[in-house]
Amino acid sequence: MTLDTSDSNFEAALGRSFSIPVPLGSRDVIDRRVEVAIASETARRASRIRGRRFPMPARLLLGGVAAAALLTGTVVAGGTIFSQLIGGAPLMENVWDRATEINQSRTDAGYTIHLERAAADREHVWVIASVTAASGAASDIGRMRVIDANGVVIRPGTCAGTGDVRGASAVLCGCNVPAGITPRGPFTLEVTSVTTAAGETETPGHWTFTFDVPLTSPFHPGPATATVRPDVP
Amino acid sequence: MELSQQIASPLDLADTPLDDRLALEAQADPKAFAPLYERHMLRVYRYLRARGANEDDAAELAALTFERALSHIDRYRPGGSGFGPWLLRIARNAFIDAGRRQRNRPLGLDEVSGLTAPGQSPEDAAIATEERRWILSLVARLPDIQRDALALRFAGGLSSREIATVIGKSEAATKKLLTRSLATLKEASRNDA
Repeated sequence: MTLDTSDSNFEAALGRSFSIPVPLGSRDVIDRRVEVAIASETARRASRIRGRRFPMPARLLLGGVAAAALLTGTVVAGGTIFSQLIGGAPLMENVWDRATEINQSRTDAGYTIHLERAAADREHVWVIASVTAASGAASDIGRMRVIDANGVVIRPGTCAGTGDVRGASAVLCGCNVPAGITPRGPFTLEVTSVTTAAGETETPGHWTFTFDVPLTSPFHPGPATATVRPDVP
Repeated sequence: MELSQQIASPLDLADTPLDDRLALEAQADPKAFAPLYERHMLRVYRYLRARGANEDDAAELAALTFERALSHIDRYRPGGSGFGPWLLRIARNAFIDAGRRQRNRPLGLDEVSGLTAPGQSPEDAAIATEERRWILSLVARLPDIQRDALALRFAGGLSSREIATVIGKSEAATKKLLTRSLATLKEASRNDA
């Protein structure tokens, strides 16, 4: 094959070669994902406007919880970071006790993320995870999202907080289900970055977990002894 | 060698004031992101395909690009290099991230035959397919940085200045890169003819 290699003709041929159409099926996939993203973001902002369930910055909140737990002697010896942190916080305990144990670990970029527990209701998918750095530096989860079985993106919105205990850190995060959508498992948790505990540096990576949890009645802040009601219809 | 201006923005999307206005609206209301998506979806998809993503991967990465753009729309600063380059930088990062997980390959020649434009006669389509197959086979032999620059230019529709902001080089260095890429490509086409 020959081609006119004068500048304009050659570049026009390159332009034609890269004028790749979008197949209808692909277009539908992208359209749907973007529609859901817009709905998710709209719902996330609306919930933020209505008032945060946990108005304190996440890191401060659970850091405070950890400190309070240590001061009041409610930290139970042994167990996971979360059993220690959650044990001192009735608000967290309510979620912790009703969440399903997942116990999966993924390692990338020198960081191991341990998905401790997860739970879901019509409003949120809750994930409870801890981060351990190979370097030993205190770290937090940076960017994350949950995707349900239908491909609905469920973004973090009401993080209960993070805290550092003996060099490890943890986060309990309620991801907001977009309005009008019932989340369906199995769920995929995608973490795409971790940060230093102070948040000044962000390290990209890929930590992906697949888990399934039953849809429970809504989680609301309440006493640790709250009764678990059967699944809502 | 001067690059011809008619290809500088083949998608005719260099309407920075309009993009900036839409981005500002989207920062206030996510629903206003829809027109930005409509305006830029094709260039993002084409760029990803030109970089070597197959149909499924390109759709996934394009969706991811717009999801990330929306979730970080507050970080977009109107009056800068423009929304198109900002978006293609996100697409480029998504492609590079995906490449770390699975090795991407140049656009497969076996996939080219189906890429006909609507309304083309069978004969025109056959000629176009042959030309595309040949050119893409030449492009596939270029170093990655040259393929990236050409994809940003001819699939993404960016100018030299805009490409410079995406790949983190000076405008002068980017112009040299594009000129060198085209010269290499022409030389290869003469040798291959």
